[in-house]
Amino acid sequence: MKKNLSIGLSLKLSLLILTSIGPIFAAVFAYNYVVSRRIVVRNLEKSARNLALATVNRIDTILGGVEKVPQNMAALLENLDPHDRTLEKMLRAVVRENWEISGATIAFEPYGRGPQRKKCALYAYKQGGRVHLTRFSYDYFYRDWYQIPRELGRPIWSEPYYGAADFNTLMATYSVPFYRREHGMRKLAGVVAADISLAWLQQTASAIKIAKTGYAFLVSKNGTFVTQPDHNLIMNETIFSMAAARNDPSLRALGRKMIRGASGYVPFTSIHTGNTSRCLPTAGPWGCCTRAGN
Amino acid sequence: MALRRGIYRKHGIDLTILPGGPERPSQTFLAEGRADFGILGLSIAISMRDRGIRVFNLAQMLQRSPLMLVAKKSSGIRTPRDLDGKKVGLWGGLINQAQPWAFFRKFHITPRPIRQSYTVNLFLRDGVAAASAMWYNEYHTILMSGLDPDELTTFFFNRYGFDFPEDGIYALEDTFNRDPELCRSFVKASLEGWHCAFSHPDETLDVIMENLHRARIPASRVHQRWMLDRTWDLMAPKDVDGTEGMLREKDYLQVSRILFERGLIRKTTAFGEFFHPWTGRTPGK
Repeated sequence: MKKNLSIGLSLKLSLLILTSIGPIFAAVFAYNYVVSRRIVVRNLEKSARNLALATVNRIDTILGGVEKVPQNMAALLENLDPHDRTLEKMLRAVVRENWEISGATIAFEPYGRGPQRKKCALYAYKQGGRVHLTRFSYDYFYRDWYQIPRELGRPIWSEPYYGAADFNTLMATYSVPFYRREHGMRKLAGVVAADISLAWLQQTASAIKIAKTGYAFLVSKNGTFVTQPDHNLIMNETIFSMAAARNDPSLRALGRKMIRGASGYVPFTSIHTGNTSRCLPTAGPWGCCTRAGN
Repeated sequence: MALRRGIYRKHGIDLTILPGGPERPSQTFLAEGRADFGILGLSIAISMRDRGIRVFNLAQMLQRSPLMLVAKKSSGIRTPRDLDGKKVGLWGGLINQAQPWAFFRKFHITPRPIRQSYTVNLFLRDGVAAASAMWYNEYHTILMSGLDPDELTTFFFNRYGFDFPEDGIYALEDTFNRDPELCRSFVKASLEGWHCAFSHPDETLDVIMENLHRARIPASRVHQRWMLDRTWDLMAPKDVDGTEGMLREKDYLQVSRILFERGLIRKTTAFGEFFHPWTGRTPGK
């Protein structure tokens, strides 16, 4: 009887201690978990941010180098009016000497090269290891690469497009308007443009991996996918058409931030996993978004 | 869908669909006899008649004009008068510009026309204050480039009394006289094809996407779905009854009058000489 009472008491005591300590342990574990998770997430996001910034800086450095070439040519053409033969040599040299540039154009305003010549656009391009030269016979005045910098009065990157020679190569053109003085007035004389392949840009963004599921993707100013783990989306969809297809306002909100170059993490639902994720848009001529891993 | 589902074949027609586009205008193919049937906008067809190319409307597919101007509210454009003196993107060709200029004249405004390319990028980059757009195409492209509907001011010409119906099925008089039965069957099969497309939208979109991929044209299913849905809205407007395939005389007369007033045509053709519904009625009789 005494033994039974003793067992009962120790059992009760043990239960009492366990039920008292249990919640404390649980609270400590939960706190640890939350804090550790926060630290991991913070580190991941910091790593994603650093990667995004490093990538954008690398992209900017290369694009900046490309931009300099037509900018310098435009500056030259504002002060000189070379003969066609000289322009051809200039274009050939520019394309030959710059590995990033696959083609370059000097195009003039209608009748800018004389009353008999409505169109004058010279184009040098690389093909088969050689530099070729041609002239545009179409009305280039109304093509985006010419018309947009003309109307805006400033240089601009085009939307990406597939190359005419190689449909699988994504290209973009940087166009710079140039001006001359006529009767004391500054007047548009034409546009200089440089074409680049975006293959390196796609490789740079595709190489970014954060934890198990983090990645980066690029969109154009219109929100068109330039890089994406799902290659079917590239050039076919914009981030906004994907948002519409998925009825996902968070994706549309992310896209709007990306094309406006907003900063700070944005929550959205992953296109691939369907999980809630956070994505970091980064400023630049191409909207870059780095998605931190789960 | 009419071709894919064998509807043309069922009607005894063996045909090839020639891809169109800005570089391959159907009016040229039709006028040169390189195509037996073509899809033309009403204003283009009227101007062809004026130039002596005897095209006949066999069926009017779109009953309403999808043409509109789109502006960003952020540019301060809220009313038509806000466009005065502003740069406005207009597609090339005087006939194509008849509708916007009639609209500008109504409000006594003189915008600065800028020829618009095949994209809306100039508008998206703020190179023009307003752009021309088809409701079924460019308008949606603008939305799918990140602008919200409430950020845009839209001017639908059909709401301002300038409703130029667009796509109709046309043939040359020779084709009609030579084989009115073929014309009748072609229209019948085409309408059946459209009905099939609207009642099987997923299959239709599969066919469209397949064709676009084959032609190596970037394509979004969401955009194609919008185009299909808006085409239905334009073919069968809810406020217009029993007009499938019919060209309304008042629409024809209005378009003719505006083109005439703008000096784009020298004479108008009688309605009965222009529209020959697929009943097989002989032209002009």
